[in-house]
Amino acid sequence: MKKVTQVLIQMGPGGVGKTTVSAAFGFYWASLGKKVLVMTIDPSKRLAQALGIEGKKGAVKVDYKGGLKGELYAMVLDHEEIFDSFVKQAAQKNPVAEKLFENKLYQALKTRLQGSQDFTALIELYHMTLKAEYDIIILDTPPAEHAWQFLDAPLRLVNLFQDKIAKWFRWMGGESTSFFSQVLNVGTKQVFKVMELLTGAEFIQQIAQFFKAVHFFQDQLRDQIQKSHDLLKSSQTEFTLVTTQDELKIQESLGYAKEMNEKGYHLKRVILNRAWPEESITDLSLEAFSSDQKKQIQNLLSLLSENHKTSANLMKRWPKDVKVLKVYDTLKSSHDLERLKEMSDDMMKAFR
Amino acid sequence: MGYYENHSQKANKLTRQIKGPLKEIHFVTGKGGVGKSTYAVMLASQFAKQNKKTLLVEIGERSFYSSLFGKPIQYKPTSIVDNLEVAHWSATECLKSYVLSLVKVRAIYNLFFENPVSKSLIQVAPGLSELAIIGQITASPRQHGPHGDHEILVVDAYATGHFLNLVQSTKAMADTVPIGPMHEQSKKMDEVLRDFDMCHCHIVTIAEDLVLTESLELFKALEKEFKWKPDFILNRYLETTLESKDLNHQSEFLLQALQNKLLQQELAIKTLSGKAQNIKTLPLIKKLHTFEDMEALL
Repeated sequence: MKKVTQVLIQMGPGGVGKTTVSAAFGFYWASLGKKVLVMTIDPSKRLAQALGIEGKKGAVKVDYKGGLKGELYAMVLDHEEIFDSFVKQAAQKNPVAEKLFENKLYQALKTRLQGSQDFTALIELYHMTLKAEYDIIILDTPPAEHAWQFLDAPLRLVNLFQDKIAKWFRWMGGESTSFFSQVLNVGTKQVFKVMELLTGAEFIQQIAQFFKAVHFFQDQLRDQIQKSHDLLKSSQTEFTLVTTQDELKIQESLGYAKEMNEKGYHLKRVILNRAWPEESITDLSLEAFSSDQKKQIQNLLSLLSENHKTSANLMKRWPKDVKVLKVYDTLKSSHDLERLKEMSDDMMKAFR
Repeated sequence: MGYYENHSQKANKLTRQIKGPLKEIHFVTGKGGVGKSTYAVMLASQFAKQNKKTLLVEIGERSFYSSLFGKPIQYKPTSIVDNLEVAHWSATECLKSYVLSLVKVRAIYNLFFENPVSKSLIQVAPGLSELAIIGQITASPRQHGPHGDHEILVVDAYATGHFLNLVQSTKAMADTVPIGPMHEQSKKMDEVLRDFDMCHCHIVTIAEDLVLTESLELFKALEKEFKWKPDFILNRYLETTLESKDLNHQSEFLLQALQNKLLQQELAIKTLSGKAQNIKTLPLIKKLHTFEDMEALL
């Protein structure tokens, strides 16, 4: 019997340590005996080295000396390759579609267009769940100005190709420049003139060629994106929000939680990274320190606690059925896999 | 030494070619949530106090300064104090004002922006929005497109990776489109960016290892690509004579957490000292919500 892979999507504002938390969450499930794949977008060099995925293609088994009950795999998503292989498969050796590879706009688009990373992450996630090789797949979403982009961008990309505008550009690619005078009314001619003044005829030719090639697989594109979106809303998939105790980050995350709820995504938990301890300063015994040290410690701790107070209040505002896991990410261990283990232990405690 | 002399000669030559009132462009970047916008305000207000006509600009789709200054901040600069104006440049607004300056006739301009074909062109063309913003920033030295008469431009720019894309977009566009007006202008923008007498970069960071690593990677990339030597600003700095080792062997959770903070801070100072010529620290304070709070930090 085939496994049903559980999908855990990690979302959250930028700069909260989403990738590290995703890896630690993978470590957590693997130490409970699951076969886990962590799909990351852009790991830091150190984390990639620690996981053993630096410069490697596909899923790599993480070698943890302390031993794991289950198995932990990690991979870095290679956007260009995923995009190319999708196009290659969809083009089905059609020469017009294959021309796309030579198109300069395509070369720039596949890595740099807003949403193209979100698109490839989603496509790859969908294919990996179809293979059903893992119990759990954890997806670390791409960094974006707004985390919601991960859910919106792929559909926007598809809409662009559905647009009747694409049709216009395709006509142009097929005709000579005399097309302007034949088909277009005066107003539209003006628009094209401005466009040409702005960008040059060469650029417009590239766009036309691009849309002409894309036409061959836009149905498949739409179909795959639709299926991936169905997967995101299915009972197979759970969402995690990762945040830090920073006031602005929590506010941003609370906004995402509300949006997820409204749009029907299953938000299951919040992981609070780099949490600040809840203990009160007044209970602290500081007898071992000199009076100067004592004063400095008290000042620093009251400053830090003050900074965390507003956010601690905000933390009470999550929807009722959302579980909050606190992770303390300290520098106690210098080895990065040990750090993941410590974070995973924090999660263990919180789950209990 | 020869290395530096050669480059400064080249830069001086470029400066002589550059016209217009604008003398310096300061980009402020850093990972999201580290205090980029705050530092950009401080920097801009410092220039204004030196009687230099300064424009503080936030880029992208959303405005943070509108809520900070308590008035709508838009494409057209708003005056805040003597010599200091603030503007919000979104890609669409920059493109609109540029197109208007090209076609001159508002009816054609309206037609262009309301036309679904151009709307989709703006969406699909990768790098076009970045180009529109860099185009606006470098309009004065290129003497092309609408621009003001400021001497100093302080740009509250995108976060690290996104920022690198922004400043590299001009070269990418010049390479993608080998001829035509877009190629010419992209090339000129790139020349302005590579003039390191004109362009300066400030990386705001905090003492957390992931943020720090990313800041260092950005520093290296900018140094390699543009020969810039960015400053580092270490924000939320704990001012103390305590050292992490003073808190060794403590069992209290709070003391361990404090020790962890101090340790990260010591590591940050050590790592940054090896890299940048200029490191500033900004202390962690209780509240930082208004323009006055930020000025007080100076």
